[in-house]
Amino acid sequence: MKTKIIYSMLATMIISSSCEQEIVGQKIENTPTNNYELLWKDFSEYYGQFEVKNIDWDSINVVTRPLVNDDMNEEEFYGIITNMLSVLNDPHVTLYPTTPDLPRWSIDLDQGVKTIDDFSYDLVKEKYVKQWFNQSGPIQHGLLENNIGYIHIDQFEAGLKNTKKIMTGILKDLQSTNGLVIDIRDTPGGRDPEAQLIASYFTTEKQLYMTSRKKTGPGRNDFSDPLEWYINPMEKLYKSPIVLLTTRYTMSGAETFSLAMKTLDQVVHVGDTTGGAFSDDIMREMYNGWLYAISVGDYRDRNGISYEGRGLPPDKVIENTPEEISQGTDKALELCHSIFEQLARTPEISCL
Amino acid sequence: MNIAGLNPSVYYEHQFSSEHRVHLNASAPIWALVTRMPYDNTVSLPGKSPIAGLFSKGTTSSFWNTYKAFDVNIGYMSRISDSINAGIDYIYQWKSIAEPKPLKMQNNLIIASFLYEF
Repeated sequence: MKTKIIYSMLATMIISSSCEQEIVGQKIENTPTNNYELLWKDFSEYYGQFEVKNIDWDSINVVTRPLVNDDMNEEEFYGIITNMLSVLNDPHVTLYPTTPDLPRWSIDLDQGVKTIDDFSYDLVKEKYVKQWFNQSGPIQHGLLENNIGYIHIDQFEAGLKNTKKIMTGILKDLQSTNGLVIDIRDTPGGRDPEAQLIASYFTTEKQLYMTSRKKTGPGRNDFSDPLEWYINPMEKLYKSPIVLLTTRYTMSGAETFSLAMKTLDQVVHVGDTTGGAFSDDIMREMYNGWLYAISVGDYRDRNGISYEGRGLPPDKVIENTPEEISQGTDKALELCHSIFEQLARTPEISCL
Repeated sequence: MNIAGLNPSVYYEHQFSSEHRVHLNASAPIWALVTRMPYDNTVSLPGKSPIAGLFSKGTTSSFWNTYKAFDVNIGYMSRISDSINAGIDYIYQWKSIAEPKPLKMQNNLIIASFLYEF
């Protein structure tokens, strides 16, 4: 009896395993053409910015598909697909090859590396911040000269509860300052709800600042209804003028934060245009193990304008040169003092 | 993925002797609350943490047309002595969830157990 029972259990297992193709789907071979087809199709079905960037993805396929064949090596395949992806002009779109000699690729990387040469947080810490209240954690804050507050945000990823706790502490320390510099020049992003929460500490009224819609299906027009993002006044509020500092390396969640801050009258946006990658992105995998990130959303400002691929232009453009930084001068940060002086003389000017 | 639902099940046990018995258990859901990542596979909602956003945005009430599943468990237990039991179970699980994107999965499990009664 025992033998019969064990045999019947094994038979059931073998039957269910042999029907795997019907039950869970077909296995596909790891070849350049199959990898290309998967990559192109994934972008076709998930990428959320063809419309706002006016890109015809089908015509990209017509041009690129004939270049791919199963005899090509990995380097050739890498070259063809990175050329294709560069059309999207999207710093979120990233390729992570597992082949050791091939670097991570994105439109804003040089040989797989992002080098920030027009900003140095070390310089800010050593030369400009005169007193620190908190120099560790995801958000640091202190005092510059002339009783100006300074906040630097590493990433918007402290969690909602922790962010509330941090912001309460910051406002307590900086409430009596004459102005505030929020420095997100090297902030790669984070979560939008955290960015929304921080911006809410600076508004006196509920304000729409952004809409986002995401892909809901494979069709080019399969999008969710636009989701409205508001900043809502918090119990504690910072009321003095604010300078928001950005660079090309301000991206993603830091850009949605910038969208929120730019709706406020007391905020002056200074520095360089942001990176132009607002949307959330997902990671997918080719049959060869290479990973790639796809932006799945269409994010716009409250007027319905998309800055994907372009970035948010500042009110006042000030770009540090690498030489200035290496010589110990942060021109953009130094300019903040003259902006606060000007705002103190003519407070009715809300945006320079 | 999180699933909470109503799963009617059938259970049958047959004892061949005082030493040997087999059991069969099968179940399939008639309704479930299925929480899955949305089609775009991201969760970001105003004022909500990722977990709260997932349950808020990704939970759907599902019937047989969108959520199909069945679990089968066949087991054999042998009483080796007054205090020792040994057994083996084979479990097969299959799920098919239609939304937001078709997902099928199957699990084959074999569990060998050895019980000592103190």
